Amino acid sequence: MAVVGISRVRARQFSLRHSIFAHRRIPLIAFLSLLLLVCLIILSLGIGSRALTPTETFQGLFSPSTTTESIIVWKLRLPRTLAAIVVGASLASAGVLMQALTRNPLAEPGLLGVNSGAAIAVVSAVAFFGITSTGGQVWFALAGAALAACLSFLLGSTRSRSQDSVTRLILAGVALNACFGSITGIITMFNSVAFDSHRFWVVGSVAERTYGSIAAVTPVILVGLVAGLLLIKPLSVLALGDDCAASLGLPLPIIRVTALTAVTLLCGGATALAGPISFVGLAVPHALRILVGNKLSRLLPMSLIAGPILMLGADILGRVVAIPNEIEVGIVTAFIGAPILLWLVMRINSTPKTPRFSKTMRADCSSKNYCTAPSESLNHAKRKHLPHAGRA
Amino acid sequence: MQEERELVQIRRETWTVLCLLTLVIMALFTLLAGTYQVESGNIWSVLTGSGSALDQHIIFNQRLPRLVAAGAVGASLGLAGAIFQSVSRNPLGSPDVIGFTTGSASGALFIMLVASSMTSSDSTGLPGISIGLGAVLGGFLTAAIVLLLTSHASKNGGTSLGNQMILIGIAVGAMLGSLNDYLLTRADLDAAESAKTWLYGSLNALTWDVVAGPVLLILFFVPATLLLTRRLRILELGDDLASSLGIPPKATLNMLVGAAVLLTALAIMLGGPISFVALIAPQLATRAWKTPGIALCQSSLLGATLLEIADYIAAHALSPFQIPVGLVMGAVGGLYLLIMLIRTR
Repeated sequence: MAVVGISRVRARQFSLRHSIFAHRRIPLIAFLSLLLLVCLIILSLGIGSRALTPTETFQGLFSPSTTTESIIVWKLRLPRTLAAIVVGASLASAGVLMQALTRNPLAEPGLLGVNSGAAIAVVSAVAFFGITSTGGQVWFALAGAALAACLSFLLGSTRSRSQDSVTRLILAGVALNACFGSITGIITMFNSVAFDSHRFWVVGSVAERTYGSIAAVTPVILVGLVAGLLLIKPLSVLALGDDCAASLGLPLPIIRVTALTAVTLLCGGATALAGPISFVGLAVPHALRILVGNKLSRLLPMSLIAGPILMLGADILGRVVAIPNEIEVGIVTAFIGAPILLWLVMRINSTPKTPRFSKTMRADCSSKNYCTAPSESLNHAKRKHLPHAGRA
Repeated sequence: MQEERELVQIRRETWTVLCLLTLVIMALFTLLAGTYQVESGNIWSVLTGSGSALDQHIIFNQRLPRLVAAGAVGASLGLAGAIFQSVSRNPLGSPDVIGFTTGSASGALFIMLVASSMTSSDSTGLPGISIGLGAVLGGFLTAAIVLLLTSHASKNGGTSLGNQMILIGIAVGAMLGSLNDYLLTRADLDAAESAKTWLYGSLNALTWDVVAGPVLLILFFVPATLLLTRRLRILELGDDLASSLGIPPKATLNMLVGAAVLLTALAIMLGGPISFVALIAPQLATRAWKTPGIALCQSSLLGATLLEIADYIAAHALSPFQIPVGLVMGAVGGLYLLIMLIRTR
């Protein structure tokens, strides 16, 4: 008896300590990642083809003058760093929202056709209006992204309640991607200048951005971000399932439309500024889920720190790895992100050992939904749409 | 019941005849039409061996190889797509899902942009066949990596084989895709433009020396693959049932995927990675012929027909400019998906 009693007390003490630890862990992680972000910002201002020491960097930053250091910091490195922060934060938060909305951990914000819409707009801007500066292309990219998102909303909307509207939306994005990609291809076939501009744009880079283009996309991204932050509570309830959320009195269609608009604004703004950058929206939410758990109220704010960390880290790596040349940040993120995705796939497929996902996630997993790529959930949609599969 | 079965039978036969008829008509169109006009009265004499030497040269050495290549590429892509859709149990399955297409693009780009600059010869002087070989090698390597990772992942237990294959294919494909974009930005503009044309997939300016080998191989491998139809049908019933019926699921899966990969490789060698044939042909074939499961033979036939039509459009829509046929197929494929979406609203 005594032994059992002691062990019970110990267990309680242990769990108490554990919970205190867990309680303190989140601020600690937040603090550490903020620290990391600051370090990366300083590194990002200093590192490049003309490396600056930290003292030179600070002198250049805080006493703006006509010295070389100051010009390098203010004209080259600071816009680049700001662009990386803005793009990282918006892509990562868009990824968190998208995954919460679709309840599919492999959903990526780029699936809405935003990238190809922005691409076709940029190519048209070069081919038909002769605009080759990144500052001028931002507006076109923004408009193209918005147009593509609106189109996929329109095409993906459905009247019947039995169909999964989000899956339809992704399918509409795939279809638009194909059509737009074809038109972009035909335009670039006949216009070498447009092709030249497109091949650099499509890689995704934050180099040579102007303050003007950053200022152009920031309001758009801020609106998307505020909408996303307002949606934290409804989306957390939505994780319980559509029926449960509806019975708790949530206006599902309004939440969906707002969330998708937020994702579009965030993703469209980021793409307009830096071109299509893959895997940030996919990898950051997953890494955070392991660190801070599954609560949206923690994930979304943390993604605003972690996204910039990944983007800045990738950008710095791209500057360092092939001195004196640079590798664009979009390529670095793909090469970091793809192994993460691979690891995730392997991990998901050996599920029973992974306790870190919430109850809903595990429930999804047992019903095989969780283990599916977007393409597999498309499969479900297709089964519903194509009569042959049903009859077979 | 009996009547219904007969109706379906009639429907199937009608579709087969319709398909073959379209194939013949498109063949005639392709042979006759073009910047150089061959009079329709002369076509018969040219085909039987007489007629002017110029007519003969235009038809036999310029238009016929392109026609034959379009048919062969369409047939093999349609069949490969049908196998992938059946094996992955996903109507969106295609050779892309195991990263084959992206891998072959990487291989071809490497030959076109990197190897040609290393040997310091002019990049336009490279024979098309070495680009094709590079593409096929890259494709096989990628497919091997994806399959290896898949079999490694499946050791841990978990979901179906096809499912894992798709996910791993997406990851590897994304990585190689960004590598391709990177290679394109580092080449000079002319080389990058011609590389991009190849990447879209084009059947323009093919000659017999390039076409003959792969076409003969396709003519052999398409029927050989069709012999596997029965095994595929049984595998569709599920891994467990298949093995209880005496068909080892893993070995059969490897054999089927191997055949599909081989067919895709041959198609890419001829025309580059042409999108959407492998996706649309099996879906349309299954709907048109109302087959239970995915129709292999019919997909092949429909693929050939589709690509001949698309190639005709590519050659004549903006004539004298030649659009790569892959771009036409991309537009058609996107429209197909959109129509499906709107129809099921």
